[in-house]
Amino acid sequence: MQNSHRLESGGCIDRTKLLSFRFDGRRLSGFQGDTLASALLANGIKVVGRSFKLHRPRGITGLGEEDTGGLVQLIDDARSTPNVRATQTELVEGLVARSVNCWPGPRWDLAGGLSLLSRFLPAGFYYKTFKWPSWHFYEPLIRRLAGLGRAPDGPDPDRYEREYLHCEVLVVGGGTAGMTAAAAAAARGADVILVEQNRVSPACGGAYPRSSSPSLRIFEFACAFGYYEDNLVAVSRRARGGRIAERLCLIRAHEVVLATGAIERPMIFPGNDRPGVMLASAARGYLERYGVVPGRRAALVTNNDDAYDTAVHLQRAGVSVAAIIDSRDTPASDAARSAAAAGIAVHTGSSILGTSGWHALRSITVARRGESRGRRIDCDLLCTSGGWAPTLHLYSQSGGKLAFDEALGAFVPGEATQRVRAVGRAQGATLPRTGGNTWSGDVGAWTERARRHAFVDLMSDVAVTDIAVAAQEGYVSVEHLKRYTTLGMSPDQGKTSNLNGLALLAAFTGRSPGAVGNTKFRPPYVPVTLGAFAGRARGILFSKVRRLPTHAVQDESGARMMELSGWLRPAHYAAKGSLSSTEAEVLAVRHRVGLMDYSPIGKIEISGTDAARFLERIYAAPVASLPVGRARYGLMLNENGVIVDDGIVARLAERRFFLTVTSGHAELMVDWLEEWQQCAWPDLDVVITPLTTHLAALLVSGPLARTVLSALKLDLPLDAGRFPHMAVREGALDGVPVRVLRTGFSGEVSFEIYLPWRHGATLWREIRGAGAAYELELFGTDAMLMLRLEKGFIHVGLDTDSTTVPDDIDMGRLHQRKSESFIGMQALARPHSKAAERLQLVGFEPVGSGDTLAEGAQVPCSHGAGRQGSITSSGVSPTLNRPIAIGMLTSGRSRYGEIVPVHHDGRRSRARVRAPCFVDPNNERLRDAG
Amino acid sequence: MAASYSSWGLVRQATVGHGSWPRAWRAAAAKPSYRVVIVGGGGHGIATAYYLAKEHGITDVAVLEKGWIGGGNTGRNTTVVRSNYLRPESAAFYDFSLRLYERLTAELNFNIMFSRRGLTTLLHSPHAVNAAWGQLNTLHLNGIDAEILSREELQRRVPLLNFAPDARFPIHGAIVQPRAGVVRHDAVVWGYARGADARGVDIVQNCEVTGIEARDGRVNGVHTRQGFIAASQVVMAVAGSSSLVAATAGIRLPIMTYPLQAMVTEPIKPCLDTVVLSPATGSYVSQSDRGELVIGGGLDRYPSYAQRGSIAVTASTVAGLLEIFPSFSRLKLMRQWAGMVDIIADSSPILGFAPVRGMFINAGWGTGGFKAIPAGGWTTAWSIAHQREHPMIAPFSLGRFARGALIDEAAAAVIAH
Amino acid sequence: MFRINCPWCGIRDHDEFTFGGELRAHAPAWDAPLTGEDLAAQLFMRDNLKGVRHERWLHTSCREWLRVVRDTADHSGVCEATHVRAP
Repeated sequence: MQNSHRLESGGCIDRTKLLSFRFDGRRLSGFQGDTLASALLANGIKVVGRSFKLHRPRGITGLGEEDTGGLVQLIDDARSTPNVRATQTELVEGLVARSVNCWPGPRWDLAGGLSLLSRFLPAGFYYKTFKWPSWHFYEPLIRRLAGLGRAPDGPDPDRYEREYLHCEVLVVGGGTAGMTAAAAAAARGADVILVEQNRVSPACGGAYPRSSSPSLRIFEFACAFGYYEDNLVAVSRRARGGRIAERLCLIRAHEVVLATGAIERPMIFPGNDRPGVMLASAARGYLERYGVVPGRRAALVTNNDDAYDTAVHLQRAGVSVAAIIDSRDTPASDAARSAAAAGIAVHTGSSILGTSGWHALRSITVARRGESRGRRIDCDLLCTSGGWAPTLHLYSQSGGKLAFDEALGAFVPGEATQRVRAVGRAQGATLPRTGGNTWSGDVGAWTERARRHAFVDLMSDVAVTDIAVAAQEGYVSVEHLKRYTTLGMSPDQGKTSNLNGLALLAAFTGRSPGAVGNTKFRPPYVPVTLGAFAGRARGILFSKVRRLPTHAVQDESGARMMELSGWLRPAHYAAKGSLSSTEAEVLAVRHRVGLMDYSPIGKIEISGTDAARFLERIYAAPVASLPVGRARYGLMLNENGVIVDDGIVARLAERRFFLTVTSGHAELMVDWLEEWQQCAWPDLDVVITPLTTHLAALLVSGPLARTVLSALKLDLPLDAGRFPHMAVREGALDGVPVRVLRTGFSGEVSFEIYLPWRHGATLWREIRGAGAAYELELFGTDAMLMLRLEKGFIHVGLDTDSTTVPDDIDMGRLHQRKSESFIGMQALARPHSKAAERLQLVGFEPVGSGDTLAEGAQVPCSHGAGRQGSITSSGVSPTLNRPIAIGMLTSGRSRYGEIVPVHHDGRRSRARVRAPCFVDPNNERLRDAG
Repeated sequence: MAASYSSWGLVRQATVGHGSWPRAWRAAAAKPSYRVVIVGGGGHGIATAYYLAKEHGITDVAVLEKGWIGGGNTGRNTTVVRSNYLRPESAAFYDFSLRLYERLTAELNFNIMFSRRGLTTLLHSPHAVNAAWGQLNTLHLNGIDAEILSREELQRRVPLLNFAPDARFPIHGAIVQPRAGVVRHDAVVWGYARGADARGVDIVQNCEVTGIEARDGRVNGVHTRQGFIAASQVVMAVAGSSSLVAATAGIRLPIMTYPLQAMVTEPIKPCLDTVVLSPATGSYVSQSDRGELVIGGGLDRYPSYAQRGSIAVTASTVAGLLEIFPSFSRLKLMRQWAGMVDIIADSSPILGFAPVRGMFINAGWGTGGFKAIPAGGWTTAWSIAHQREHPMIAPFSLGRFARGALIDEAAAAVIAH
Repeated sequence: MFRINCPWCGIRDHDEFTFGGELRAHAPAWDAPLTGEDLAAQLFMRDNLKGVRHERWLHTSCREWLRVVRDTADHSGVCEATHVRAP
């Protein structure tokens, strides 16, 4: 029956706005202002889902995040979400929810029979069983029984955002204490933010001091979930409507006020997990906030006076209260009086021996202490109140100490380590005292059946017997208890169970709960959507991709773009004729001329009176001796002597150098240079200017490169006499300043033209125009890698690794003739760095079949496991029309001519070792007469 | 000997109301002296004690733990075990460890729930595929299983991966170690503890070692909060605090201590049957038997002993995960924590005798100590029993730094964990 | 997320900075002719103190290398920093 459990009036719901929703296929209705939980209760729905381990029926037990039974799957096409808390879900028109962890439904669940086996499934049973024949035999079934909701399988249509905020006072919690603290702080002019995870103050009360101060910002549906260093509090703000579903706010506050309230503890008795058993605070909350009576006939079980109020409230709302069961012998006189006045029977010194009902609660059995048989009392709602515990998760995360308060039976805030204080119920002082344990009598003397049916953690199905077994087996550290029994490991993270669990552990081990201690409170306080953590950091905002200055014109040239070291670059262009695109591009460079956008190359300018001295220390190659206008290949090493980068160092002027570094290291090498300059050599007068994204670089390479460039309005002589190999010139091209470097990474005469980024595309077009008559080809990174492979030039990080020293690639001569100290020098002097059996760069040619050697193929050791070398770069040379490769081989340089086995994908072939340079070994093509 | 665990035992205990389960290990009090004192009751320390007793009959052994056993990185890691190492020294060691893991449940009579579900390393570019062939061939030569999956095959096995054509990190395939998997981490330390205890080893919790006492270059024992304990052999296995404990014996180590975060989502029904690692995004994920997604990423990039991480790293780890599994966006993060890990320049551990005689160092596991527990304990025990380093661990000695003979697994690309 | 007080930029979140190593009082000259154990001590060995220690950090936005005083036991609060190149 629709809204069968709704009062005629009362609550902060808007009764004029009827909302319809579906739960497990049933069409139901609620009102604006309801949560899904209150609407379910209003419709008399008791069984909402099934528990994690034993698949026992579960119902709503709480009002908010402490609830242990109201997890549902929200169904909304792509917005379907598993494990949503019914207590924290606002009811909206058309909402569709389904119960989790049961099939076909929560009332009839195929796996429900597990509950009958509970006596064979105590804490940690899986460590003792499922060993034969192997875990894999059981694992698939166990995995299917575990888990709760189902993960969506499509992309998330929602958007998320990150927000950074600052304030003087951050108040967490929008109850009376929080609102009062916030208003007071705002009144003295402080900049205040108040966050409340649901709604601030149900308007029906209306008693909260609402500040109209402009310095007070109130965020509703904002849950503070993490407390980090220096008063940084992480808050998840759920939006209601709008384009952003959830925001992750990082709020930095001068002072934090925690008005996080307190959570009621349930009493522990056999059958306490039956739907219909609910925290007293929750029952009262549903009544006051939503006008919902969670039952027609109620009983209360408690160890404190606070619950008596709830009984009176329920009675006034028309719920018949059958009994108050108080574990104490003498409740406070005024509490007893109020119960008597309301005509409620009070059973003191009593406890509940059991509950009954098919799924949901129908009756309880009550007995006085010492009695083994009790009286049956019919009720469909049992409110449980074992006292209150301040909510100190954030306080603890802040580094604040917790102290155990015996009178409260809970932890209260101790010494703080940050500027934070707890107020109101979170502070603990105003909470009602309890009359001892949340269980009755000597729990050690309970029967096994009673222990097994008395639950501590309703989500994880941890019962008293599990705590007893853990204690008995020596899992007596509170962290061992948690891990062995899974206490507090479920989505509620033990909000109502951790304290009861450790109190029981204390009882079983003869310690005080304070001595047992608490498990560490870890963020987040409530589960937070993964998407909110990522925010907008998705796709290219998660990891950038850079574009060439010629990006816009690459498409029209048929470029096949590929990401390389964070840049989108043409791997190759469209194929022409019978040759593959890469073959055609390589042959064009070898025989005519090619053009490449080379802009990703790292570019750094070094100037200052000590520029030469500085670079002499940086490079494992002589630099100071470099004449103005000339360039040199150099290696940079780390302090361990290992090659970290290679490139060209060019001297533009006496005190001005231009360096190129590998594109993937462009930023890293600037950091590296700055670190040495600032930290080790602050006395050197050097200025380091990163230019990578400031200068475009176009590479024109091939025997006709000079001819093509001559057609441009470049004010530089290009003939070999005045612009020899490894020289640098500065000039202007049609009025635009350029610097031109003549190099030969491809093995052909090459000019690298550097000019301001915005002119890159224009020059690209001009060179293409000028080159048309000479059949200029555009070439991509694949061709570039092949051109340098034919020359046997290394690619740092591909052919070398983090053990390679200069001599390994036959570049030892670069530093051997240096007289000045350089980074890595000491390490190169170690015997290990000079050992004869080091891996050295060599060339490889296939023997026999003539098939290309695979990149990544390995040269196995002649004895035993492991390898003595590897093929690091390989391919069919278009220039030579046969397969070539380079790689590293133990003592490789002394083994030219040797034939070695090569292993790839389980197959063996053979290769001949040779020098790594395959084309023009004497570099005659570079020193052209021009 | 402890009672044998079996299904039959469980039924028998059920009939007596689970009232007579024996302790898994005794609550031992420290004696004044031992032949071997092991500092640190984590996986490596307790495994060392177990193998000393079982393999070498050395039972006059104490494991001293400052808190509760398994409370350091053993209980904080993401439980992945694998042996896909490229350097032969590492491959031999870690594969030995994996083989010990494979039979550990039977050996310990304690179900460590080794779930062999493979480690799937995504390849996000053609260059990564080429590099993966190099890894595959190297692994095969090292005797390690490995296979390369095509994009199509991977799509069949892990359908939730982001195969969209416009993905920021396109997926070109994967390299898989089929024998890799996940293990219930707490069970490893509890199982070893039970086995060691049954053979007479004292496991002493809440006993913090404040210093290693060495005189004339030789170890005498350890100072603890409970007093001095004499020992002629001291093993240090205190990942996360290695530099601090070693310093008490006057030894400097090539270690920096960094926080490493891990996190889990709420439990969901099975949706991921392998461990997936994306080197490009720096995130990896598996699904626990309980149904939680267990997520890890890179280090917080500053040294710390605080056992907590920065939310910036939590966020970037999650963002990296969502790049490869976009549909996980609506799931909720349930718990996040951090451990402290020993980071060494060459990403390889230190296993060997210290410059102080009688002292053995087991340290520097970086982000991957969990998978090494059986082999770390086994070789440490062997070395103590024989008073020389086991040949398998000779390359991992402290002396490699002076020689410059680093075992550079960092060169071997993928994220170690 | 602790904070560092950059002498140029003021108090900023630590993720704007890059850790660059611990500072030692008597480090040998960068090019001292060290070998064997001495070289290993310089290149690899670390004090790795728990508690207040002096470190080198780069503020990546202003490019200044800083000498930072930081407590690695809990690194709460604001870490003070000075220019590393100051005498």
